[in-house]
Amino acid sequence: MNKVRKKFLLYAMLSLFALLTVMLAIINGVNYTMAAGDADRITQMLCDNHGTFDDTIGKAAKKKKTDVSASPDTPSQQYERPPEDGASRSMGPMGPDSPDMNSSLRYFTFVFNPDGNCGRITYRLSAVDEEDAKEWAKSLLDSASATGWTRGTYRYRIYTENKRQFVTVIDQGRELLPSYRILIISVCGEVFGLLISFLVLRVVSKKLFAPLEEADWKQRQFISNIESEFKLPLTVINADTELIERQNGSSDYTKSINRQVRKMTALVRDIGSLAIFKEESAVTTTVNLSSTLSYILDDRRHKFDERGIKLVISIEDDITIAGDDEAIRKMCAELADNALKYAVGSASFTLRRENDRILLIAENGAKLQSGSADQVFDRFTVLENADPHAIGLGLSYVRDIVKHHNGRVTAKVEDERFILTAAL
Amino acid sequence: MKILLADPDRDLLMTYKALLELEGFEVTTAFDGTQVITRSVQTRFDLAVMDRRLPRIDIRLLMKALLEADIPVLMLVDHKITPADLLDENAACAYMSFPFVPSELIGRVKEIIGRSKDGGRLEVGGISIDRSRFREKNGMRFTNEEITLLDSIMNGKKPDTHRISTYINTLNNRFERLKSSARIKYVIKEGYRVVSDHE
Repeated sequence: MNKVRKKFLLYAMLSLFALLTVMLAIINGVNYTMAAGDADRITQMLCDNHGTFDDTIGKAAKKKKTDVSASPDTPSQQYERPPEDGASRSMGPMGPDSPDMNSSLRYFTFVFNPDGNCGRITYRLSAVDEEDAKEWAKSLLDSASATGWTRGTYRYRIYTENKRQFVTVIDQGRELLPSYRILIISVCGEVFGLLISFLVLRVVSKKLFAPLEEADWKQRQFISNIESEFKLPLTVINADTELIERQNGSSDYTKSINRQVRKMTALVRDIGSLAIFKEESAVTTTVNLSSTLSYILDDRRHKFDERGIKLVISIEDDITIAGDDEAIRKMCAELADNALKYAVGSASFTLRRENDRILLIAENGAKLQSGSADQVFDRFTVLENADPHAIGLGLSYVRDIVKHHNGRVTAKVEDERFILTAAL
Repeated sequence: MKILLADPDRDLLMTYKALLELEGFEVTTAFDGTQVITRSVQTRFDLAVMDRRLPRIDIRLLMKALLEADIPVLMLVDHKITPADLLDENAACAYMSFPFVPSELIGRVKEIIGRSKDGGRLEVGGISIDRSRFREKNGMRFTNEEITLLDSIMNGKKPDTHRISTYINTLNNRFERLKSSARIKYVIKEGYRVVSDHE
């Protein structure tokens, strides 16, 4: 799959994930806050009714008896409206101020006198026995806030009246159940939605990127065609010129042809090396990395000497790697040439095995800013103190080659030393 | 010395025929596979210079026919030479990649013909290579470059072959296949050495 397409998929999925998560978090958060608000209104009502609804029911029943003739068909008048807070946010029969609240509410209220004595106001809870509930209420007295959740789905409120502390606990288990369901459905929905969108995006992106991939393929094809189709004519022109020179002697014109052909040959070779890793046809053999690196460094030893760079070599014997020998040779050569170009004082090359990986470390003194360490791998990056002919492809080749052999390459600058590590 | 020059490009045939004739070779040209077969039956060539992209007959069949007739082949290819080319059982004696200059081709032609005439045996790590026939006694083929490289390493000379690491690599591969313990390694400050591999 194309790199661009992979990136597109990744970013699309990430933004979708973020969007869905924020949306569902808001829905669930608001839902939960509202549920807590409802619970608080009930405890507030209880508080206003001195810890019980029984009284209210009594009044409502009385009222029903007396007013039955006045408004027989209006159920809203058959119970006493809870005062203030409840009334302002009334939801009618749906909310906490429903006429059936009392019969469906599971709660208890205990009162604690200043001397520590504990009395029962109401006890309507079957899940917990009364003694247990007393201990529970007592422990709630120590808590910091006047209201909150306890034991998961129970809402409590503590209030003081005439120096007596009232503790009311209501069971909201059944009321919270829909909220939990919404949460679970949200999570499942998000996972399912992401999965579906991933599958759809995969198909869509394939269609979307098909022209791009084709263009990319054509471009590669074009480059490799240039490479192979230009080679034969260059060879023939070369031979023709040579033949003319042999028969008629060389002239300025034949020399000019030779120069131009050499230029074009170099160009065609450069184009070819740019395309080298874009095709999947690299040949794999066992390459002796120790030998290759030793040879390359020895071959350039006199150049290091000329430039006054001390060459430090530490190469473990017989380190082999499965790969493309030409590419590996090129990688070693680029590392050595890079040191030749930039090293100040000394350059060291270390090759060793470490935990199943091969470490190739090129370290040299260099006048580099610490920030520039990462950009050395970018194509066409030429650092300030480079020689004017540098085109900045060297270390990008190294990176490509290491990557091609499933390795990682990192660079850092420490104490005016540039350290490049390739783990293969 | 008789050379068969085979390439689909007529201009290349014309020019290189003239150039090789200037060097004193007797050159016959062919521009497809069938011509290669008919010409090689008629004449006993000392060398065939052949483009891999010859039409009409599959290049592998052509190679097989020429190898059976014991005609050394210099193959012209339009890609970089890979170890897979060299290690193929029907590999040519030598490979050259386009583009090249006449002196490179002529030099190579002379080297191969010279080797196939004087020859002699090259003994290394229990392997005996017949230089003139570019093959080991059990039939494994060695390329011209590999023999040149091996010769200079054995004589302690600094090899000057282009793309040396590829040939070192294929030579080690051949030693391994022939179950020889010989391996070529680079010893720092000394150069390439043939050492025995004890593993």
